[in-house]
Amino acid sequence: MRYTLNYLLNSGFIKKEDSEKLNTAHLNKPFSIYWHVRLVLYLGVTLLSGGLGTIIYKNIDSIGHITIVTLIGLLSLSALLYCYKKAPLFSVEKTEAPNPWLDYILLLGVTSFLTFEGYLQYQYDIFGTRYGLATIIPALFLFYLSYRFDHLGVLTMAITLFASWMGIAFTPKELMAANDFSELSLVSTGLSLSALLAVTGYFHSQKNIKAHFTFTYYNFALHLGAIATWGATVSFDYGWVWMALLIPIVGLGYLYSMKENSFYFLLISAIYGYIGVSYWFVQVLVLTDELFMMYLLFFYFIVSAVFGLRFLRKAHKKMTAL
Amino acid sequence: MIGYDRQKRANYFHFDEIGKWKKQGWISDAEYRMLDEKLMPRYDSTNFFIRIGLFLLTTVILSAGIGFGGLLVSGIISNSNAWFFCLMAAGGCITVLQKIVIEERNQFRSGMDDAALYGGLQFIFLAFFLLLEDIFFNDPLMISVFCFFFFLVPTRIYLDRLLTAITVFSAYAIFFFALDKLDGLWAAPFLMMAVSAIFYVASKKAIDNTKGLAHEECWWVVKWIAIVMFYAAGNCFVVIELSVELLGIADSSAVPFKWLFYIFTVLVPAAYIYFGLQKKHLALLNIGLLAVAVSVFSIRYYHNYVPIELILIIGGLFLIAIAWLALRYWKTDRKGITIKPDEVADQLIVESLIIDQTLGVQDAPSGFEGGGGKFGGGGASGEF
Repeated sequence: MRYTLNYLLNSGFIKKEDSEKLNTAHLNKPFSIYWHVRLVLYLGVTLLSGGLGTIIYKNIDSIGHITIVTLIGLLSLSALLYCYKKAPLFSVEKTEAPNPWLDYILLLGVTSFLTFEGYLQYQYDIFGTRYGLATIIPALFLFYLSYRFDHLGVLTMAITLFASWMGIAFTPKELMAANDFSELSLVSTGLSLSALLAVTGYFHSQKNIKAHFTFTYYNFALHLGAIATWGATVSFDYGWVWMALLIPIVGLGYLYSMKENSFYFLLISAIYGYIGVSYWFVQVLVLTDELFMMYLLFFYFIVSAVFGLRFLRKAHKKMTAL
Repeated sequence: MIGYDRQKRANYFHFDEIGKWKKQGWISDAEYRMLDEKLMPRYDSTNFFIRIGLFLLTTVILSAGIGFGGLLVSGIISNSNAWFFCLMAAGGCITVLQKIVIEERNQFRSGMDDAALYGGLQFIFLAFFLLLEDIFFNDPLMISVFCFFFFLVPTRIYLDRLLTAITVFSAYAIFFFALDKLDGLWAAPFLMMAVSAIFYVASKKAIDNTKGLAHEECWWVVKWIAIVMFYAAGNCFVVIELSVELLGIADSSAVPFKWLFYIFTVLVPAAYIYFGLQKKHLALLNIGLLAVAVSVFSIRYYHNYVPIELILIIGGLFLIAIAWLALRYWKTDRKGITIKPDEVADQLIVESLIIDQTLGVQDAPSGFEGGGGKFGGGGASGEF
């Protein structure tokens, strides 16, 4: 700051009084600990709900556990009631919580609700053997809460729960590891869920209902769609035909990135697209003679990556030109 | 000429800086556009995500190019001349970096130059390794000294932050292994703390008399590492475990000055947070917060009378209480500190993914793992 200011002043690009004005603005700018407070709150909620979960888990067969479970239920209820009392009313626009505190109280309410509900199902079989109900009901409840209180974290949890109701493990870490996309049923579930999420996201932005949720829906849709396609490609006969499904997925991702100036979507679409195209080329190239193929392969990667570089830089220029 | 053009690089940083001023509303659009034209010539600016993409693609190009070359010479390459081909590859990378990426394409910190630079260094290192393997690559002290000078040179030329970090860690390694040679490892924590203090003071001086923002950012890396290492060197877990491992002390209760390290483990994070807030020092505050978590687990490792769930609950309540107090205290801005965000929108999405990762509920049919199984980790694994 000071260095740039001195340079601009010494080169005569700005006037003395402007420089002083900027310097005071810089010195008066308060130091923001917003993210620190959020992190501490987040860690607090995580530890607390982890501790409560562990306590139930360890005491599941002992006498005192009814008390503990009741306490957790009450904790959840009071946290949610508190949110109802303090949070702004529902609006289709983005609503701001009056302070970070409320976001995390909601999170605490949600996690303790899930622990509570899970316990009831485990101990008393409230949903009987209809395990689906035990997932979809909390998922719907979480969807409701995320819209009511405008909370992206709860929305993400709700989508994850909803996906697990459909049979797909859907946290960022497990998307690749825990799903076996070599079964047709799982692939078609993944693709239809992806399409559903994309349509939902589109609906939100189009009707201007919580338009800022669109990103989250699209993000899940893009990753799930691409990975399901990839799984189908590597495990089925004529897999390369499945890869054609990437074209609409990546294309839509690209269009969205251009529309919203989202560099993240641009990068992700480009990576999935590049993997898809390379897969096709490699499939064709392995048909040729071995040594010749190696040369062609290296040649392909050089040329394609040069095109990739050009594409990314052009897109970047286009997006920053505004 | 090797390295970046000074004027272009300086303007790159100045342009970055005035972008921030514009976001803060300190300068008008017209003023911004005027300065934009004045700050020419400069290297192109890149976005973080684009940078990742360019880095990956450049790595693909260089790997394929070197693979292509390797295929051509695969008939004549052998153990005795491999170092020469490594140098050729390195020369190729550095030429691409200087001639194409920097001069022709005008790139600085765009991912392309990073990829070419790291690729080139990798091959030079490999060449040295192949040549000198038998002479000194079996002595940790010699390796550290070699690494220090090997990375110091490109750090000075290109002012790259990752290379700075490697150089600083090599310097720490030199002190550590030198102490080992002198049979003085018991003093290692104190020496490491002293070295960190020296690095801290040096970086502070360098940042105060800044010679340009590229230099300054490298010195910031030194400063962060110094702060982290100062804490780590005095942390009771690190000291006790390393003492058992390296000094051959069989019983962890016989570690010399043990009580002193417990005091360090408690006091250093508290001091970091206090001074971080007082001096508005972001690095101290961030590392202080992390250090608190590390300290809790370090001490608990040796004193686990209290069951884990109680620790979690008490710790959780404690953290929530602290945050509550902070929120009350800073309802209005005080002492130049605010709880209002600088910029929010994008980071909230990252946060939502971290929440999903750490509090997520996968085992839904029994639903029981919900919140119970997955805690801790601080959510560092979010793959945003």
